[in-house]
Amino acid sequence: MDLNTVSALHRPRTRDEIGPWQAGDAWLAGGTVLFADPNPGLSRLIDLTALGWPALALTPDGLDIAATCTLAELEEPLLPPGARIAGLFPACCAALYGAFKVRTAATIGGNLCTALAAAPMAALIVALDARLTLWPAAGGSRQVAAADFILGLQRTVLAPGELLRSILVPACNMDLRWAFRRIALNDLGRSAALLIGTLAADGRFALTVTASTPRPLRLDFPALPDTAALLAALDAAIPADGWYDDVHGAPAWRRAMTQLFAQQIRSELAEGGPA
Amino acid sequence: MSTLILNGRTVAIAPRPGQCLRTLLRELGAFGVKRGCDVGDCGACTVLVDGTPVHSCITPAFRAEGRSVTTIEGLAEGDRLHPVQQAFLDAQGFQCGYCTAGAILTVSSLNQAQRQDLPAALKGNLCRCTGYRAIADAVAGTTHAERGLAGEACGHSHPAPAGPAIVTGQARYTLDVDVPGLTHLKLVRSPHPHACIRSIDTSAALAVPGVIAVLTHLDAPATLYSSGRHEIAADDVDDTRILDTVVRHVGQRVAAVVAETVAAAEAGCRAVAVDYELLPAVLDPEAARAPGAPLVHGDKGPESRIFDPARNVVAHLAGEVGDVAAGFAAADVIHEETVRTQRLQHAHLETHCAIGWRDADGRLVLRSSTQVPFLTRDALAGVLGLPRDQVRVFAGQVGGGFGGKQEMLVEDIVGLAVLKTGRPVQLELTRAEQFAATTSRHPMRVRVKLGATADGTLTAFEMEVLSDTGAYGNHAVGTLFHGCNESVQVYRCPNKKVTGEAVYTHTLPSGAFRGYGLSQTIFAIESAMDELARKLGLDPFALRRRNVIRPGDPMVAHSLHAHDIEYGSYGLDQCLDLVEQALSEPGEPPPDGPQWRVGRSGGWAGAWHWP
Ligand SMILES: Cc1cc2nc3c(=O)[nH]c(=O)nc-3n(C[C@H](O)[C@H](O)[C@H](O)COP(=O)(O)OP(=O)(O)OC[C@H]3O[C@@H](n4cnc5c(N)ncnc54)[C@H](O)[C@@H]3O)c2cc1C
Ligand code: FES
Ligand code: FES
Repeated sequence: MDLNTVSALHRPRTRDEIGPWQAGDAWLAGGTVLFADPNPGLSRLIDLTALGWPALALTPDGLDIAATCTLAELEEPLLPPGARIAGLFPACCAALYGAFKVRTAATIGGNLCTALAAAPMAALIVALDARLTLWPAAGGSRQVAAADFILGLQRTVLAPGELLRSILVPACNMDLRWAFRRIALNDLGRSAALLIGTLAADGRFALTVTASTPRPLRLDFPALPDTAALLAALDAAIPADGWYDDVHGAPAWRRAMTQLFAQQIRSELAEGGPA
Repeated sequence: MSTLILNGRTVAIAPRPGQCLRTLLRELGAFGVKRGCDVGDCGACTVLVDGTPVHSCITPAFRAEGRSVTTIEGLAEGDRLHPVQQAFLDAQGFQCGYCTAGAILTVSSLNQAQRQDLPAALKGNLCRCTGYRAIADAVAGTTHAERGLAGEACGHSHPAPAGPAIVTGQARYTLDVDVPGLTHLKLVRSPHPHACIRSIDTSAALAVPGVIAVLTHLDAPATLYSSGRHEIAADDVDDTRILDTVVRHVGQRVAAVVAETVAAAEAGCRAVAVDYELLPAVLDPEAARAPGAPLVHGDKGPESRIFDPARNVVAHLAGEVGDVAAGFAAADVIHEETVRTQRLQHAHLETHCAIGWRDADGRLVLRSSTQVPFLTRDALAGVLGLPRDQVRVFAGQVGGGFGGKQEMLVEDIVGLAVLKTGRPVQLELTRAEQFAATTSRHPMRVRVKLGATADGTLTAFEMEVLSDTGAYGNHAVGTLFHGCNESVQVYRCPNKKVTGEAVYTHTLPSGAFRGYGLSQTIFAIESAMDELARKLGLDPFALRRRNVIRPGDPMVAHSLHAHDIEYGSYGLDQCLDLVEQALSEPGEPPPDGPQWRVGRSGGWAGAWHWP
């Protein structure tokens, strides 16, 4: 939709050109959220794509994903040949309710910063234990772990004027074994529960829960727990009223699906044994 | 100034900083680019940017600078249709056609893998008319349209006359016209379910650059009318004012701002200050009839034709044939159940919209997205106090209605604004306004009680209906009448009793909706019939065969009063046979595993229609 209160567009080519942050400013990435939501408080858009960040780069540290990388670009990530986690990327991209035409514009940064419960990119980066680089308004940069970035529904650690620059999937996690489960009221609808389990070569297991809770949740275990321990850990981490509630699914159902998927993921990863 | 290549032609553009590509393209004359939702969901605005399909409503306009954009108008090569356009014509892959441009452009970009999984590939293309079957047929290359059958037309599948215009983007829907000097109207809406307007301060709004006028109840005629339209206007209750001093639901319009641009009209709306005196509201239809409930139209007199304004009852119906008590006494099995149905929006892809102006002869002209142009003309003349020949209402191609456009929801305020400003005025409701402030299917609570002898013969049939018309009574009477009529008539039973009331609440008004009251009651009755069959140990089809009316039977609902409708031919028995046969054919197998159960059910639905 037209954002009729926006009277200025800023297209910085370098970080220096960004200039001071003002009330009414918004970072513009793909625009699939900004242009879909009336917000009369907006007066200026700062176009992040003008900065020309390379979408994906494979470095000795891991896969470096620019915040402006689109979901379409992420569907075929630049990974070392045979990397086990390769299949997780298209699975998470396809979990966006938006069709392929939305995925060509939607960015991973916009998805994370919007911080909806059903943010599939949050599931991806939390499961892969990624590290985020932020650019504070005052200059310099700081890092946060993926699991700490989203604080709650549509709330992140970003301060005003701060932006998300990039996401690093560490090299040591390229060969995690993983299992993925997702459900929505309509097969192709908005996720009501999206869970990813990962199993590392040394036997460490992690369960990432998204969509059924307002913010992503990651449970770490030194080894694959038995079913009872896994369910107990879920219960301990998510209070009875901690399940997400909106038109895309009732909380009780989300809880039931989460528990079911947790068990299925555990079994699937148990079958292959530690990687 | 920059440029883009639009359908092969380089054009100069000056996108506004917050503009989306959709409106930029329409300003360039590409009216084939449609708006269904404006939030990225429906795909009606799909265009190709450098060959890649995007939703232009969520694409910043400046991103198209220097790019090549293809809209539906640019897909054909001269007179030669693109193969996908031809396929949509051959399969008749459209009805209203409003979604078609976006669907064709999207399909034109699909690779083979995507074509194999259409639900995923086309989930970003909503169609409210076809049920997608016709679209899937188009993708599959199926031909339905038959040609060249002069003299033997009957029984053949004829292509829609508008087809070629629809698939090429030439069909002109309501707002697909260039009107010089066009102004835009936006509405201030009530945040309260029930309030009295003490005052409205329009001064700040009038000071917004570009604002031409702000209309409030002070500008609106006192005439009461119904937004629901029927040939006989007195079929509906007169309880609505163009702009009222009382608001009766969240979303009711309070003021209208007319401005040179949509942006100025929106800014004007934000600047209107309304002083409300909050009043108690009743939101629950059960509570609405209780003594002491806040009254929605307690101020109305008999001239409004409301059944009982002092009890919030807008329409009432009661009747009995035979002796229902005796019928239940004679029954071997009785089944009783109550169902509740929810509100539902039609979600026609083209929202309610209209453009009004005065023609050279001074006549008020409205180009509107309506199913009832002539009835709206009559109503407008009455409400605005104009002679009938001084008002003209017409429709272009209409982008879906499903009953929702048997309603005067925009023409009245646009007409008033034209009269006040003398300027051409356009109002296009947003999708959010559609949901929050237009009409919906009447929510109903329906209790059905059936009695039958052991062989399945109905001995008693009782139904009680409570319909929630919301804040206004448009179509409340008609939907209650129909809901309690055909649904009951289809079964032969000597003893029938029906009672029904439609009540006001301080909620969104209900209105005409596909099925016109029958969907709700038929759902209740057919559910009860299935349960009755189960209790009797009979097959649900057998139970229906035993009890449906047969040729020669009168159609009786709740009175023996003669109707002017008869059935000319009879096919109910064949319908039951065909459905039962289709159900017994092997379908998709259930998934593996003991946890899956297979249910089988049948039902009947129908309505009176006459030419
Ligand atoms: C049909 C449809 C379906 C959708 N389904 C889903 C879904 O299932 N799940 C889901 O989570 N989302 C969904 N979305 C929302 C959206 O498309 C995605 O979240 C998308 O990834 C957002 O990215 P963007 O680049 O378009 O964000 P933008 O609209 O550009 O930005 C979104 C927000 O993030 C801020 N922002 C963007 N980038 C940065 C950055 N680098 N640093 C700081 N702030 C930034 C912006 O200022 C803005 O507030 C859907 C959208 C549509 C239209
Ligand atoms: S997706 Fe753009 S109008 Fe619906
Ligand atoms: S034909 Fe698809 S919405 Fe009408």
